[in-house]
Amino acid sequence: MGAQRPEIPLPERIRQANQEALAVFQAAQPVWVDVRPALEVLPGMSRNTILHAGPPIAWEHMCGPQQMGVLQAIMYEGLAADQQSAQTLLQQGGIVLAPCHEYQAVGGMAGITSASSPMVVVLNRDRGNYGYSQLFQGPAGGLQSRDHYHGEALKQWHWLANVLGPALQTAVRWLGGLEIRPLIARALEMGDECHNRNSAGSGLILRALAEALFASCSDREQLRQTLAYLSWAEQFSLCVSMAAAKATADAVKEIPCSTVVTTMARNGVDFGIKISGLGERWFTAPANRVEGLYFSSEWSDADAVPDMGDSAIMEVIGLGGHAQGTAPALQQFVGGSFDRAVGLTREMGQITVGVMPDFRLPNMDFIGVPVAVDIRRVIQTGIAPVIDTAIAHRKGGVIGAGQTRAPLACFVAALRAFHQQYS
Amino acid sequence: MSVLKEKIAQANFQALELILGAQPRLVDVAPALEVVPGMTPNTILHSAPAIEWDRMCGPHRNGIIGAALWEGIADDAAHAEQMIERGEIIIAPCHHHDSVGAGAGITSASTPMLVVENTSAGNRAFSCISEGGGLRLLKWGVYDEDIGKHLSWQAQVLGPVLRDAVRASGGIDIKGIISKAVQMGDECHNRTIASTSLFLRALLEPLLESRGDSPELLESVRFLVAADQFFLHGIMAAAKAMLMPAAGLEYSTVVTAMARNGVEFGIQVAGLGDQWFTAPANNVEGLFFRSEWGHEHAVPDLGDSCITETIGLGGFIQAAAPTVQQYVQGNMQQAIANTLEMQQICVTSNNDVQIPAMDFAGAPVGIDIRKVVQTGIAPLIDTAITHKQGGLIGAGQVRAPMACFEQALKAFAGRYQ
Repeated sequence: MGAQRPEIPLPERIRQANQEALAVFQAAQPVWVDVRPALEVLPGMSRNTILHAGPPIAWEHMCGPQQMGVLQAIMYEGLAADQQSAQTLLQQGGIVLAPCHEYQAVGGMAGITSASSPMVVVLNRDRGNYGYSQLFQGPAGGLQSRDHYHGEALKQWHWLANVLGPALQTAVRWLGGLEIRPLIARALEMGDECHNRNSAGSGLILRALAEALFASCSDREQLRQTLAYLSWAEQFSLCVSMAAAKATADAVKEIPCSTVVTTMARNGVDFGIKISGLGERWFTAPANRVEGLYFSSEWSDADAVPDMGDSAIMEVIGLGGHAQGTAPALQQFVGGSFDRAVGLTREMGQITVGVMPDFRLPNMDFIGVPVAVDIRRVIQTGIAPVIDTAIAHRKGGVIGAGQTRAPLACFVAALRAFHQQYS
Repeated sequence: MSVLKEKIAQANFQALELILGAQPRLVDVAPALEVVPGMTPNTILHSAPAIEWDRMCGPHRNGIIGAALWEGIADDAAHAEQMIERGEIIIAPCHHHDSVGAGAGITSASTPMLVVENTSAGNRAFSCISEGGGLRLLKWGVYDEDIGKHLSWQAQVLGPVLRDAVRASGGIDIKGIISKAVQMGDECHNRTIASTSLFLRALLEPLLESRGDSPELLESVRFLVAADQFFLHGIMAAAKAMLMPAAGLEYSTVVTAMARNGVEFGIQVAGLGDQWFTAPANNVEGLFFRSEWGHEHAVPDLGDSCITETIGLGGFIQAAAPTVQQYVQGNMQQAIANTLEMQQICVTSNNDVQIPAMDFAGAPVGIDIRKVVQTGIAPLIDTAITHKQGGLIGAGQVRAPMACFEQALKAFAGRYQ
């Protein structure tokens, strides 16, 4: 060995690593290529594995909606006949519970994903890696009794697996894949921030799929139900965008010395983040409450689970809360204003490394959305990432929408770990 | 308040009740000859106001000759011209037949028309269906064999498919589409991407229901998916349907139509019936789509599409569609300033059309000719730019000429004082 290279100072190594991370975000090319059951596509998936949103959590610590979802999934997959035996199976360790995020997947709200769940398959053509998301499990409607919930969920999950999933599979294959990035760029121009508001994106996906659906779906009743669902489901594009965001963010992982956030996820109890330079380690803190609007006066903060779901992957790639300036409609949930929305986007600019040049905000004279949250800047400024999100009831169901902040404590813990590893 | 002022205030209030209370629904698609009042096999309509054949701009002349050839009325261009000069082909403004036409507005007997019914007042208005995207369309005053083939496909295939789907849908609520689309970045004149997407969404199930087994369905869907500004014509017909009940309303100073024929700009005012007040049309400032094109190639302001501004869309709500600022090198602040300016010449604001970036302020609506003349602020119109020989070459914005409003106000004073 010759003389050692002069040591590059750590701040400079971090700067370079973060620029590299930014470049990977910017270069991502997510393409929706398929819809397939989780068992066929998720690496390491098994018949008795059930995935959930957020950082890891033991069964007994899970919030209500996740517990209900896990029991439902066990019964749906035929692993137990009723809730009682499902619970016994869990206690005996017969079920592997794990975060979606550890299987290259993301799940909205409770995020319950089991072997038969139809998954949106997105390929990041830039790096060749995949991201997956369930097709919203639901039922997301109003509050129901447990029996009612299980009955409705069973119907809905069978329908997703047997009707919608196969129809989308043939349509997406007929198309030869659907580029998601231009679709998101256009949705941003149409008032979606692509987390809490997906009206434009869902319309654009329906338009993009329309010819393929008519051309590839020979079962007229299946086609009718699929068109009806896609015409009605104004949040549908979120599950596609989430899989695209996961495929984008995973490509940013494991860049030595990078202080950029690659994961933000919540399980209704804890909020967890991962940092590029620290690999797959979770840094968690108690999840914050969501401030927002309840869809009915019968609900209040007392009914709500704290922040939940993997959908904060949208903020990781610079959308959602980062892009509020384009979606003033969402200010109605929080009694805000257009100025406030613009202010939040500018605030996110203070804690990020750069922008996504093609994700532009027309209302803000076409600036790119701020992307790549740097944990150092979060700590220095005291500004935590803002997250647009739905509100779940303790006993299941979506009851409102609003926004929240990531807890600062995760960033503090991550920065400490970073110093231990790199100083 | 003087008696006259009081009467005007009441009349304008009533005009706005009629306009904002209108419920425009797309109820049918049919050939012009079957549905447009006064239409005949040898009538060809164009964008208003009325103008003699020898004073018409290039896109109008080309378009009218094209329509005569497409309909098989004339054997060739020279023959068509002779027939027009001899009065064997009747040319008239769309507006005189309860219709509106974008660009040159060329509409003939076989043209498939969107039929919009204002269910509040029971009146109907019409606009041709969109030919889709592209720079060379009959709408822009271009005609050749390929364009003729496409028009025939629209008349024979797409028109009937749309007719069946629209009928199966039970009617499509255009007011609801406009409200939502404005939340999604459409100003509903130069940008109708969201409206078109919402329209398509409403149509897909009825398409399947009415034509599920027909081979024409797939080609129609392919066309509709690609035509991302398709629904402008539906919005235009809706605007005309909303304004018609206010036309002829005594004492009202509210504008009920604005239209341009590439030579003149014309307006109609509620209290002055169907009389046009015209002045030379202004040149459109904006972006030319190719470097080879410039102002010297452009006809002045053309088309009935500013019927959208007449109901407070388009240039009146630029703040809802900052993307459109890209044509005029504007910015968000300018867009908001323009909307605030239009508020100064309007009677009220429209709570069905809310502008997100202005904290959901209602769109300015109901142009009052008195306010235009008093403030010196002319209505701002988003619009396309057309080549003198036909063809779309750009997009931008333009002002209505003040002289129309001054003349109208004089006529109003003459009539009511």
